[in-house]
Amino acid sequence: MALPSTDGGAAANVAGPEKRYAVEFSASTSEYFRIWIVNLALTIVTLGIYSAWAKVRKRRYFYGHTRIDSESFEYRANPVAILKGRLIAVAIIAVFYGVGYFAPLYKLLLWIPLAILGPWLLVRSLAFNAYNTAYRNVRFRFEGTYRACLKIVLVYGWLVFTGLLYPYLKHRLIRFVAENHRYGTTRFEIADFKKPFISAYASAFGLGMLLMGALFTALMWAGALGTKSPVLPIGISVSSYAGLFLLFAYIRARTTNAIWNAVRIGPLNLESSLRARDLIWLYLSNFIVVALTIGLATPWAAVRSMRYRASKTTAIASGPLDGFAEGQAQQVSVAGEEVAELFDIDIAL
Amino acid sequence: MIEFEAAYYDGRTSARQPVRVRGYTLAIQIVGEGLRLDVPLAKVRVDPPVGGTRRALHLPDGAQLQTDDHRAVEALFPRRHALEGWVHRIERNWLYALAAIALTAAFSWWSVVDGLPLAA
Repeated sequence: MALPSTDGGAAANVAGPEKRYAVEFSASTSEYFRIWIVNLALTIVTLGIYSAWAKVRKRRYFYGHTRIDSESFEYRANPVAILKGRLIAVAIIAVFYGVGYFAPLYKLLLWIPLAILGPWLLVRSLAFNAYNTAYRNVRFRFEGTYRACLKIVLVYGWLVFTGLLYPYLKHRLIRFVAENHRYGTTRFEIADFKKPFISAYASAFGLGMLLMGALFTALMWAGALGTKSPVLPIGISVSSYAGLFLLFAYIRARTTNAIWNAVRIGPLNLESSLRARDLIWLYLSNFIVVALTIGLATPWAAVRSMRYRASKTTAIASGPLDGFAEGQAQQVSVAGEEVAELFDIDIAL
Repeated sequence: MIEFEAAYYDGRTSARQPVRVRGYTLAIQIVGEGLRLDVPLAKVRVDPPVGGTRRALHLPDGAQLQTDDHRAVEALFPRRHALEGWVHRIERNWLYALAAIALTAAFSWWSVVDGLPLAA
C-alpha cells in the first residue's frame, strides 16, 4: 500500500526490501507489581501529591519495555508539570460540584463551556502526550488545532444523539487524531478505514440484536413454564452484562485493527491482528482474577494486556528506520491532558 | 575510570551509533566511528531509574546516550535524583512491597469503615 507522501520530511520513502519488526513488550509482572504498589502507597501517604510521579513512573516503565528493532520508547513528561495540571483539574471539578451542590439549576449551564472546552482539552492532551513520547531520541508531535477539532465536533457532534451514526463521528475524530501526528518531521498518514471501522460497529449491532433475541426467547420460555425462581433476574442481568462485554471486546479488536492497519509513517506501515475471541478471553479472565484478588492482580492484568497487544502488532519498514529527522523544539502545557483524564475523554488510537 | 557501551543519537535524526563511553570525575568521553566527544558531567541530565528499563543520558543540543549498564550510570551520577532514587530502591525490595500492601489495605479498610460514613 503506497500512499502519496505530502510532506517534505527527511524520511523519504526509499524503496527497498521490506523488513518486519515485531513489537516486543518485555515488562515483568513481579517488577511492575512492586512499582505499582509503591506508587499506590506513596500516593496515599502524600495525600495524592505523589500521583503525578506515580503516573510518570508507570508510563516510563511501560514505554521503556516496549521495543521495536530492540529500541525502546521513552516517556519524558515532567511530574511537576503533571502535578500542576492535576491541581487545575481538581479546581475545575470543585467548581462543577460546588455549583451542582449550591445551585443545581445552573449545573446544566456548565455543560456549555465544557462542550467548548472539550476539543481544547483533547487537542492539548494529545499534544502533551505526543511531545513527551520519543523513540530513538526523536519526539512525536501532535499538530491538530483547536479550530479544526471544534469544527469536527460542531459539524458531526450531533451524530452522537442519533446513536447509529456515532461510529461515523468517532471515525472522523480518529482520522483527525492520526493525520495530525508526526514522528519528528514525518507526518502520519492514514488510508481510508471507514469501511472496516463502521462495519465492525454494524456487525456488533447485529450480534447484539441476536443476543437480545435469544435472551428474550429464553425469558418467554421461563415465563411459559411459570418459573418464579430468584435465579431468573440474576441470570438475565449476568447474561446482559456478558453480552455487552462480548460486544465491547469485539468492537475493540476490529476497530483497533482497522485503524492501525491504515496508518503509515514515512517508510513504516503497521499491522495489527487482534482477535475478538482473544480479547474476550483476556478481558474476562482479567476481570475475574482482579476481582478475586481484590485488585492486587491489576498490574498482572495490565502487563498481560499490553503483552498481548504487542504480540499482535508488527511494524513493516520499506526503508531504514534511522532516517527520521527531529523537528523544532516546542513547549507543551500539561493542563489539557490531566483535565481530560479526569473527565474521562479518551480518543485513543 | 568507568567504561561502558552505549547507543548515541545526535538529536537531529533517529540514527543510532554504537559508542564506547569513558567516565571520568568531571566529564564523559564518547568514542565511536568518526565520533569523539567530551561532555562535562554537569551538562549531562540523567533520567531517574525505573525498574530495569534502559537508562537515558541527555546531552547538550538534544543528543542522547542510551545504555543498559545501570551500574555504570549509578557510579557516574551517584547523587542525582534523591527522591526517585530512594523510591527505586524501595521498588526493588519485596519487603517494602509487602509493607506497601499492608498500608494500602489499611487505608482501604479505613475508607470503607470510617471514610464512607463520614462522607455520607
